[in-house]
Amino acid sequence: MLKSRWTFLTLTALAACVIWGNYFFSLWPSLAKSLKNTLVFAGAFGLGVGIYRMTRQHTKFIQSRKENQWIYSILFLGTYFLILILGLLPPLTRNETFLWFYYNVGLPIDATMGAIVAFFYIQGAARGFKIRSTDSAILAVSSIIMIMRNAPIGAMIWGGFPIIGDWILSVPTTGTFRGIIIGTGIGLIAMVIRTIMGKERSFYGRDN
Amino acid sequence: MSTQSKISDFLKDKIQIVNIVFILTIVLPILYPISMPIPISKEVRDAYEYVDALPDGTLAIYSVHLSASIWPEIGPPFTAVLNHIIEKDIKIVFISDAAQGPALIERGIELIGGKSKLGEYGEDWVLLGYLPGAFEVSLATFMEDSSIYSKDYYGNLVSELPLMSKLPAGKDADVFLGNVGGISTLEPVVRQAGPYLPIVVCGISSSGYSLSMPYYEAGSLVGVVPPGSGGAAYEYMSGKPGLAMQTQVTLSFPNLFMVLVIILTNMSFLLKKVRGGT
Repeated sequence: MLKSRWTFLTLTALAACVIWGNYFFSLWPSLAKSLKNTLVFAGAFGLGVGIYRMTRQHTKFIQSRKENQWIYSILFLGTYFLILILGLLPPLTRNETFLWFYYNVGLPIDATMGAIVAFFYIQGAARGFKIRSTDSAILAVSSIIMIMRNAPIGAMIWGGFPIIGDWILSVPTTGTFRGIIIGTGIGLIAMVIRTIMGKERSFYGRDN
Repeated sequence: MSTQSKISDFLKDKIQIVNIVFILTIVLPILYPISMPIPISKEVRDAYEYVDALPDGTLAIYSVHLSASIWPEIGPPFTAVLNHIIEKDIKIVFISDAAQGPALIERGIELIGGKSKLGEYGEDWVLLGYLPGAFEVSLATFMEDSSIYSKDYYGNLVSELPLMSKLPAGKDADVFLGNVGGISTLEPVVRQAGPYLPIVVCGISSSGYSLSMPYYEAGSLVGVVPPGSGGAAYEYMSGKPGLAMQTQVTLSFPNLFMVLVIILTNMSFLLKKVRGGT
């Protein structure tokens, strides 16, 4: 019965009715609040499932001595559980050692990974940003104007960069994204209606 | 293989030369700072003037989406606005939709001079922390009922914090300050907080900045402080130079170099086409 398609559909429809009823007609406030809180618990539960899956996967790599992988799996699991245990020591997530690792190891590594993206940008510009058509020409010119609009040196080089850049942001960008946002919203409504009616089956593991 | 031949092999790939020059455009302005004029755009000015006009005693919800990877973008505007707010008697309730948010909020508070600058904890400011799950749902619930947080980030019962007695629901605040990562965190803020409170975006990633313009132009956002020069402009207007002004010069030369690379790439491509090459 739990794997039955009708179980999923019934639960989905009931949950939607409770939330919609609460939002539009202020019905069942405590039940709606409980449902919303359940999502918070589901998120935390999902985290636990993720930890289990990651541990199982990397333990398999270590047991099978997978080439070019098993040493990194040992390093990964060791670091993973060290930080997890430190974070669970009282006071939770505010343990001094945990915070030291976060500020002095985790944060610089995370910021470095973000900063590496800049090199991908510059290499992409050097290799691939070639004007082959009218559309790519418009893209290149507007990109240059926006880059110079955002950089303080742009206004020093030519006062027109901020003016034209502001126009590009206010008019074509805003108009285009308004259309995309409206289209996305309509698509989302259609998806919700399909889910409620049972026509959207991908969320419980079956293809449409 | 000798060192010289290794270097010459390395430099045969022109991309490596581009990378080296790019690194120099970042490092040299840091070592030899140059002062530059700071452009102040309308959305930054609107954000500053709105926050500046907030009366004493205003209760603000400050939703902070910070993670280590976007701290360089959003951290400076966050500290810029916080530095402005501490001049005024504004009560702040911090919430976060990122697991790393609370730790980075504390870091930002340390950068502006420490927790004492915000006033007394529980009376003048509260750090509620992070809730797992979909941000859209947790924010929607918070706006209707703030008891979704039973404890704050420091383990205190929320019901025992005097400031939270003034905030039975998020919609009872006076203003919503959002420090958002991108469109995926901006849209929940506009949808869930927008119907109740004026929203000032006090920091947004560069990818989300242009996507925030439709909401700003439509009036859903009072103002937007973009990364880089936006944070610097805010610090300039508030008269408190900080992180953003220090880093905004380092944006100029890498950006200029990128523009030069695009132009040179296309000149080379055009020349090859004219000469009949591929």
